[in-house]
Amino acid sequence: MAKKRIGFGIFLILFCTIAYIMTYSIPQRVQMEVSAAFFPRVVLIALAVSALLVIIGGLKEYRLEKAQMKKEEKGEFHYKLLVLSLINCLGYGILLKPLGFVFTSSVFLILQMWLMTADITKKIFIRNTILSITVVVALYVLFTTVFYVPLP
Amino acid sequence: MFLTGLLAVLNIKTLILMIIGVAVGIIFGSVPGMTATMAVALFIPVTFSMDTIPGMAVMIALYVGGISGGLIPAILLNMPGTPSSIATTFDGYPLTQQGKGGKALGTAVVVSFFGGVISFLILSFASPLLAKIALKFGPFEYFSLMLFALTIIATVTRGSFIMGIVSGLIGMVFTFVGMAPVDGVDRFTFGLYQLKGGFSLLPVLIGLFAVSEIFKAAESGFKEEIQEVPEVSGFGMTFQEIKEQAVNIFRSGVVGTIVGILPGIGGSTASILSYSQAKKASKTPEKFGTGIVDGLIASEAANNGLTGGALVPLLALGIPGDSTTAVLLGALMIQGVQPGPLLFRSNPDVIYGIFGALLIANVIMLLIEFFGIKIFINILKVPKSILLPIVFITCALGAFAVNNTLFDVWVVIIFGILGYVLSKFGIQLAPLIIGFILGPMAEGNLRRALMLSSGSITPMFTKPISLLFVVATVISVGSVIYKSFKNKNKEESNILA
Repeated sequence: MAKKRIGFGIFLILFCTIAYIMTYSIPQRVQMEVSAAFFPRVVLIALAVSALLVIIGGLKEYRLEKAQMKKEEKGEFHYKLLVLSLINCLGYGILLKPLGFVFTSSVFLILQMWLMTADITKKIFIRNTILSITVVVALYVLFTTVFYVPLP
Repeated sequence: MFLTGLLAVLNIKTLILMIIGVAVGIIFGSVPGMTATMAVALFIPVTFSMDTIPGMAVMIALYVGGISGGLIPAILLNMPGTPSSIATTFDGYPLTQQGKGGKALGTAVVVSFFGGVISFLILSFASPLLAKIALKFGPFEYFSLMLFALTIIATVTRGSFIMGIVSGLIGMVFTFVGMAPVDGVDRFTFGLYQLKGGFSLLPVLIGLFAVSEIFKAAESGFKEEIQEVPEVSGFGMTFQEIKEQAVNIFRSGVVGTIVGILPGIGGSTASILSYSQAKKASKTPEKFGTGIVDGLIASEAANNGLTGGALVPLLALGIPGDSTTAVLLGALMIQGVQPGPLLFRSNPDVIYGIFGALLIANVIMLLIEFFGIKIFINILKVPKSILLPIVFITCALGAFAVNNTLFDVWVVIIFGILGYVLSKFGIQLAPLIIGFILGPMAEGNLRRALMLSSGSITPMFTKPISLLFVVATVISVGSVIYKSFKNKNKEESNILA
């Protein structure tokens, strides 16, 4: 965790530096006591200072961990499931407009339920598919015909 | 006069409509992505054919149900159903994890009722007077109040105080995207027109709290923890417990009502502020966030207290207290009623009808949610492999329905990913969302204040209400620093011993 904190602190300082430089491109349309760039600059400075404190805290923690010969306990990390879920969510966003709400949402639900179910059987898959389509169609009908909210 | 208003609501037809209104409101409030504002807005056309008082009674029923409904997913799933229920997740979900989900739901329902009744009483007896006080709040007063509210970050931070500050500041940074308040200058939009409006609160909230859960579950291999569904008996809160928590309930209801009276602040700030005050007043503040009923009570009494408070500026001044009352203002005007100071003289029957509807709606909410607890608690039986994907779809749908734009769906997804990634580095969602909510209000009011005073900050210390909040801020920050030093000295003396 100490190394993560140090790395995160460094990233934050870099981010704040770049963002602070970008505030100089914020136009000032009207002469005002406090410009539109003022508050972002104050917050970015505060964030950079806080990031420095995070790094200092991280370094102290790292020295302590090293002195105590502590090793960070890593739990199980399922990269594959995480990446597939991420791709599924991103795919949903990309395909929602071209393919429409009903089709995209149904496919998303079927895929995500399949990913999330350990020891999936054919029976469970069929149940999930029927459930997914039913839920999506019900939501579509509710929003378009009852609430008059147009959906993609 | 009040009895006349109450009797206008107490007829079979209006009562049935109100029962449906509260139930629909609860459903909207309990689905992450849908809100009380959405419920009220979507049902306005239904009231066109109704008389004024029944029409407004249905709107109030939807409002009360919608605000209250957010407690269900907040407690059972750690996902706030509405922004007002953010603070409910702090202790509500830990209670569910301890197997006390039923008790948490019952307690939240009971105190929601009490919070609503407190705000009803304040509304009925003091609305014109309170509206006059609300008028005394100018930009300096609002800015000082926001400064004080930002100290809540210290209260809701668990563990490293510095990481809490970093979380809050990151939340504020997200609000710099879009048009600046006051002068409307584009900031960090990178030429994209979609970013001109910035990020809306609802998609950010559901992305951070709800969608990130999918990635957290994926990381652990979607291991299902078999949740034991607890037995629920009675209201979940005994009379003795109500007596013990009376001060907390009353204080939280009053805080919620007062925050509701101040236009533009909203339920999320009310519940978080109340939570913070309850923690400071508690003899065991270290237990807050671990599953303590006091924290849950503070949040829920406040967010229902807000409902009556938000009606004060609406009815007395014609200024909506929050987004839902902004929609209610539209509903009133469609019915041919002009809110404002003269309304109390020209249409007292409407005023007292609305007061009566608020009381009745709270009673209906108590009864529906009491009988519904045994049904709601069964959400815990639904496998997460089914529940989480469906929640994602409703979140996407709710986000889309806010502005009818796919951009908000992307905001949900991106903030879901961000929420997951940031949590890996110790960033906490509660302070982040507080920074996100309060940052723009602080900035906008500071800029307006300095415009009015030609750049002078002195009025912040000379205006009485503003000075009061500045002093409260200094005391709040001082007590955090003092406690921090005290704990550090205690740790050092323990090590030495």
